[in-house]
Amino acid sequence: MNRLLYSTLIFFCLSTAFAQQELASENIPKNLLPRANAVVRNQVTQLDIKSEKEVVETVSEAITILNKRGDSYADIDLYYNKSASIKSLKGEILNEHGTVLQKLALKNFSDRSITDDGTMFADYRVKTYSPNIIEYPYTIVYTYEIVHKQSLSIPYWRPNYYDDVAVEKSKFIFTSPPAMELRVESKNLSKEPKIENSDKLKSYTFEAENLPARKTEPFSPNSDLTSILVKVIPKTFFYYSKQSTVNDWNDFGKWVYDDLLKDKRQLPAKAVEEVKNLIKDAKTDQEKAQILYRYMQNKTRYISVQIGIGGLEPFSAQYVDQLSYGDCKALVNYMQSLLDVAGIPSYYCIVEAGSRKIDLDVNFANAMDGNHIILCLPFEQDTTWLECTNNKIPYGFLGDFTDDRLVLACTEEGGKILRTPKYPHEDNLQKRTSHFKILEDGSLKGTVNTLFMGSQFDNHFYNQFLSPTELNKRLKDQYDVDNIVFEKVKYSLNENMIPTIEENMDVFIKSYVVKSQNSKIILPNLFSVGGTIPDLKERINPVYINRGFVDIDTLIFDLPEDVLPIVKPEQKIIKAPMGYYEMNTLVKDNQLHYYRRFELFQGTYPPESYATFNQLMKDASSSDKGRYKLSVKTAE
Amino acid sequence: MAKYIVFFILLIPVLSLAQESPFKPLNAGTYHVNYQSLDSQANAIVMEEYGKSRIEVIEADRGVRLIHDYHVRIKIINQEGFGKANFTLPLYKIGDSFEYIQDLNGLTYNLENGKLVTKELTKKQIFNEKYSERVQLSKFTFPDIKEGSVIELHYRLISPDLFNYRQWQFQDDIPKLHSQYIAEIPGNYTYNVTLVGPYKLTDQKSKLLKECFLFNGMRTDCSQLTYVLKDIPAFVEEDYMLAPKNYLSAIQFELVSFQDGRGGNYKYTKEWKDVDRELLTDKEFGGQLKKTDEFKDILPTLIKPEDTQLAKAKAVYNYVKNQLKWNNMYGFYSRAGVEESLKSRSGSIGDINLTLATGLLAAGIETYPVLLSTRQNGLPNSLHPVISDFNYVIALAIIDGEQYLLDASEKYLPFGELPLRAINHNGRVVYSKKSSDWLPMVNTTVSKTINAFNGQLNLDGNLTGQLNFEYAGLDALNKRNEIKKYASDEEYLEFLQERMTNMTINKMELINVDDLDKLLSVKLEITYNLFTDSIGNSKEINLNPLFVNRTTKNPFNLDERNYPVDLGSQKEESHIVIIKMPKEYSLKDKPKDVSMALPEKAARYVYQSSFTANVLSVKQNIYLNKNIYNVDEYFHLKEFFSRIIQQQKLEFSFTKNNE
Repeated sequence: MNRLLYSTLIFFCLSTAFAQQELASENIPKNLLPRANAVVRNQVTQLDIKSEKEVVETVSEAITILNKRGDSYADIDLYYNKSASIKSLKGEILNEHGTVLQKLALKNFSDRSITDDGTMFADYRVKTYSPNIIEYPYTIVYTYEIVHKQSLSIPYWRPNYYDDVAVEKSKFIFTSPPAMELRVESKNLSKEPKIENSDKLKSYTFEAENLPARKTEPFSPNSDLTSILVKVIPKTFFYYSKQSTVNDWNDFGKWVYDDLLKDKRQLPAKAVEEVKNLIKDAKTDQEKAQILYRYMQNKTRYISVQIGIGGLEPFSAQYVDQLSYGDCKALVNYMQSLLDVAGIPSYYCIVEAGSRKIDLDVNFANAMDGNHIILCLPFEQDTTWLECTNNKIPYGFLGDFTDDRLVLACTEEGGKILRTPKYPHEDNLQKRTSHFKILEDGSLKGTVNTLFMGSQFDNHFYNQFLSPTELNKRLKDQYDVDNIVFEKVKYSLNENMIPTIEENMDVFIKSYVVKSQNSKIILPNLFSVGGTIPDLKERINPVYINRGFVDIDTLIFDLPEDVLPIVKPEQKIIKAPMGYYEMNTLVKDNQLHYYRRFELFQGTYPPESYATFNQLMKDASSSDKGRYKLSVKTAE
Repeated sequence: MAKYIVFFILLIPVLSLAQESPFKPLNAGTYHVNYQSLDSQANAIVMEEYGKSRIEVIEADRGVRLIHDYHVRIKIINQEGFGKANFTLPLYKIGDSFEYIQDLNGLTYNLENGKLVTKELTKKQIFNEKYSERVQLSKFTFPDIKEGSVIELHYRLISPDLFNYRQWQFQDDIPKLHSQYIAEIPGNYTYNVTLVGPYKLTDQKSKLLKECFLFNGMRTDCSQLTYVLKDIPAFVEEDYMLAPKNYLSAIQFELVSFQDGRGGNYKYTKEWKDVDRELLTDKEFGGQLKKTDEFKDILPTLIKPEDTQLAKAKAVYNYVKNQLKWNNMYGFYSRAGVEESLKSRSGSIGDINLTLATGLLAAGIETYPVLLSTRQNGLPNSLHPVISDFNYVIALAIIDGEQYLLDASEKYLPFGELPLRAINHNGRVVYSKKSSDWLPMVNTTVSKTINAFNGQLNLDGNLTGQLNFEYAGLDALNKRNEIKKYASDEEYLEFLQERMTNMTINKMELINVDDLDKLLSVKLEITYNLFTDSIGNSKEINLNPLFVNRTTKNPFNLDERNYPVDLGSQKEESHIVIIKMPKEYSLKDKPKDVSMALPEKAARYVYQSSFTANVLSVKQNIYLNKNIYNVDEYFHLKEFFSRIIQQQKLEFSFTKNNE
């Protein structure tokens, strides 16, 4: 009874706190306006953890939208499913003076499922609302309550997550029974939390205020390093039908293994026989694993179906064996069942996939980190990693989707934090060699051979699976030269430890070299003109390069009869902390030789080095566009 | 007018027949279907496809329903074709009831060791998703898919939509060897049937079915129409084309009339004059145009009686445009109505443009609503009125004999111009309850961008001077929208500065951003780093004066083109560059002047230069003089742009004078 009263009181306070006149836009502190498209005037997120089985989330927010680009911050998206129900919502939209334009209720919201095209089924739905207001600024004020019937996956507080939103005031309060043990993690706080204990209730209050908007800068480190973040989970949580006590990732991994994975790996007897038969001649475990991986790639395909324990529980190996499809969880689990037959140990690993490298939060075990599952084979000499949702990639290759980051292996003994392999920058290689004959009319005829490796492996890897018509279109995008014709294209795959793919082409380019009076003009760098990066006046964030690489281009042109084989040799070398550029041209034996090398080094560099980075890119780009004049022989 | 029809009738139980499979049993021989001659590059192919629709009274639904039986066999040729084993069937809410599916079953065939093995799609593998208020999805994927698998799908769909009967789509994104559709239409229903697309039917039959339809206790004969199309190529979308729907081979239906057998005759699709009358008497269309009183208090604040008609029209247009915000909904009815739209300050296309038309009428301007279909939505049927083809409305104002097409849904659109989405061949002007007519939807203003530089080359290798961009037509609309995305001019300047890496913008001036009738211009005072090093000591320098917005990519680079290019408007792009050279240099070599044109001046290109008194002037113009180019002209355009790209590679050479 008392607890109920307490939370009602808070609710009451919040509702009256947002007095309309105070929300007039002129009351926004002036220092919060620059770079802001919206300003959070007042935001309070309250999590009332009543028990492991019930968390009441109450959010009250008043946000002023300053211009069109801020419109999306006025949208309200309320997600719900079997374990999260929307209890109430009310709100209103105010004009710049704080006068009410319209009132909001749940009936104004549209309701839809949130499965995307690639997903067969997911049990989440969303109720959404977006206002359509013509005059800026305007303010949307609302309060809603969602009741969660679990306590593992509950909202975080990240008041300044978006760069272009300033925050006048934001507050995060969570309360729990005094005896309940909580795990709390906070990052980049500007103010210490207030912790209150009574015999009825324990409460934490975090506050942030007066946070200006920031400019979004390219090549910035992950926002977790700089923005405010608070996470809370009860030590003992309840999730769908499961309950567990988790202190760290070791416990979490153990829980996943025991409650979600165990007993899902039995294959039907017939399938076991088939697997045994497949590997009967293989000698080493690596060989067996390779055969089984190929078998899995041929037998299954990726279909996303998210049911069961909030999308965390895989379908059984038997299910995949029968239907030949599954999502990442089901396919990894199925691959494990195949390896079981061969007696090869393997770990089910949770990873945050994406080109940007994001680690699991080592200090805080939770179910929100990670969006993908991969498989780790802990061979003594050479730990091998398998991506199980791709029918084509070579055995043991992860590519830039899951490379070089901390993941959680869920094993019988508990969770283990592992790092996926890193491809050093020199292995992320694209090496191209071209040899052309310049014909009388200025057309080029010759060969273009390219090797792709490491994170650049899949630049052209998938080309080989395209039909000739589609391949031709794709190549025209990849080799963006007018009038280019690909006469013969061949791919050869080399499945080394780091796989490579080689592309061999015969190419014809009509009228590439143009004639002007007594000379012919050629731009020898046909395929690798580098881009530039935004020219920032000031730089605040450090410069972060997520992944390094090396591009090497060598082009040789046989000169036509009618030009003088004289060109002043040129060389350009640019060295910078984060990269290297080299270009050489010279004429030798009636041939024009062009060499280009561009390297970028992974790392974090101080903010002031952005100017150097910018200069490197700019100079490289203009050097890339260099042109040469070949003098035409005059009849004498 | 309602798009759907709901019948309340005496219900008489009818036994519905279970579906029969039209397929011959598959065997190892037919498993390897020969598709090479149709499309040797296909990833998946429809081997056979059968559809059959009829109209029947369904007791459980208390109404007349369309019953559609569908059967298909698809060969999955390779991994790229695996996606064709995934299905999402949308089920729409028509009136108060949803379409639904009965008897869905599927089978996967694989050839294993010379034997055909089958696996069934089970109920558990079918997911029903309530996507939104009006759409449900039935989603499933076939089990055991391998390269070479054949899948077979059967289902029956029951729909309350009798108005559109069941459109049959012959062509899809994978090729089809055989597609057959049978429509059984009871004698008391009359439909307009349209065959769309370039392919001729392989076979077409019709037959009379005696007493096939039982309704109100009476039996009616049906005509059974059979349409067969074989060897249908896959449809591939191309750049700069109108909606694929215009070209995809299909059979479409629209209900003309229905007789209830008791003397009642209901007309649905009519002649244009019927549609005109209905629209103008409809409370959500013509009814709104009468609500001129809503502007009674507003007009005196906008216009004076002595203003010209044109001034009045512009004032009303600007008022509606600034007062109402488009909510991104289409449609030509004003569901909210003029009064409510003016109050809530937002609305659909119908709400906004009918409010505009009403305001113009209130101001005494001769105004008519124009129905149209957006580019995305496809071209409307031009033979007879298919009202459901339209999804947009604009206003036509006639002032001093001039016609103005007006759309108030885009804030930065000038008076008398249309946004690209509304430019889709013809619109239908509803003049009166008795007359309407087609009118071409075109912008009179050419989309134009001018890049102009006037300045000097300094010995340090930098160009300094004035760089101006000017925009008209759709180019101006796009540019104004881009500028207005930024909270302030300073932020826009910052965006420009960051993007133009070799350039320092010392000053920016934006002219006529809000004065839509005038040329928009962006004036920059710049320093452009043309040469990385100082040129003071160079004996010879080569420069390309077209240093901004040069054409480097050919927009028309296909080897094969099947559909016309539709640009939406004529286009013009110009460069005017004037550079005062350092006095130490004189011209040695310059590109030849060029002038070329496509047949009938469909496109034209001019490149001219001169060097006098140490001033280099270069002028380049590209004119695309047509909105629409046919397939043959595509290759002319390709060659045209290819030559432009070559011309723009050329440089001017200067040598240092002997001292």
